[in-house]
Amino acid sequence: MRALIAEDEFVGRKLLSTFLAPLFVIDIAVNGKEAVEAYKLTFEEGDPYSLILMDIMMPEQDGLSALEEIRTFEKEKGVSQPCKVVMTTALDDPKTVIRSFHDVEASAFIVKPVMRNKLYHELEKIGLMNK
Amino acid sequence: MSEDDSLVEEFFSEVNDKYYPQVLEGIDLLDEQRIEEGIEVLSRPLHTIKGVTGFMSGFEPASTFTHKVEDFLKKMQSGEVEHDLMQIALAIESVNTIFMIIEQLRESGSFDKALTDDIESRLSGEGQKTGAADESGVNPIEMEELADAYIFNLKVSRLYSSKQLKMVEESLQSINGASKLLFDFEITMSAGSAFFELIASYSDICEIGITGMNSHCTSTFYSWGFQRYMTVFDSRESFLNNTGV
Repeated sequence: MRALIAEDEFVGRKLLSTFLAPLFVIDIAVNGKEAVEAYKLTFEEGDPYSLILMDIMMPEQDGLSALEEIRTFEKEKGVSQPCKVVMTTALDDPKTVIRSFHDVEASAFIVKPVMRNKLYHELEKIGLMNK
Repeated sequence: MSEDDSLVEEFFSEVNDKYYPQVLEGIDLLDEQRIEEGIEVLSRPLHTIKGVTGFMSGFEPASTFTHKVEDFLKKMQSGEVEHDLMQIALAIESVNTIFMIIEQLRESGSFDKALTDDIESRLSGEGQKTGAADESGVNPIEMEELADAYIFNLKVSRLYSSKQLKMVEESLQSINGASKLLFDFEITMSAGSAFFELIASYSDICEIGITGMNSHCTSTFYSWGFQRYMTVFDSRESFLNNTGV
């Protein structure tokens, strides 16, 4: 399975890569724009990501609008199994949490710092890891 | 106000303003047996409730239960679960229960676990394995004639099928000159809006009372505004003495 880590901070990317490396083949994007491009590219290759870890506050394009674009793309292409996307963010204000689930259909929401156990627990909940 | 409190407040404001109307529309479509459309309308509010309650301290059971309801609806959508009236009734009951749980958790911090266990076992097909009764063809009503009123005792746990509604209609057509009717829900756990619509159609010629509704029936009754056509009584005595609640 393939996963994309969309995160603008080097240390964050490094940490998340360490957590996901035993489970996925990983790609990295450093902003929302790259994340959308990477998703579309893998889709066209016929091997789209099973998981995206999406930071919200990123330069160029934020994580919420990037995910919105990905969801629109999925609908246009008639994707039956939308990509599982975990928002990983320092923002935990109510409007951001609710918008993540309602407007862009995030699969889960983790407030930073992201810990290994917490991430794995969320991956279990969304069916990408077995207990 | 803590971050958690403000999330709870924002969440319930969204539930009341946005998700509940969407869910009522979805239930309405399921009730009309427009399954795919109904599930499509339900999917986004239920996904949001599942996600946000999973993030709210103390509301995790609502998230877990909503997840199971979502899975059931997806199976219905894919055809893995049949679109018969029993399953539609179970879908509606489950969705209503989500709202009941989040309200209970908000008010008391606890919820009716026996109820969710029962629904979860039926969602997983346990009801079928243990041979839950198909009551779709059973006469759902028993009529008692009093001096100046008729009492209709409901005798099935779920009242949805067109056959059942036809039998209720025939009973209603057989009453002669009665000015007061009482529907006692007794063992009935859930009833479709079509049932309430049917009895409300007699509100022009009779005074209609309802008693014994559980939370599911109450939720359907009030969400559709049937209190405009009939009165809820806390017992048959209060109906006969005309002391409505």
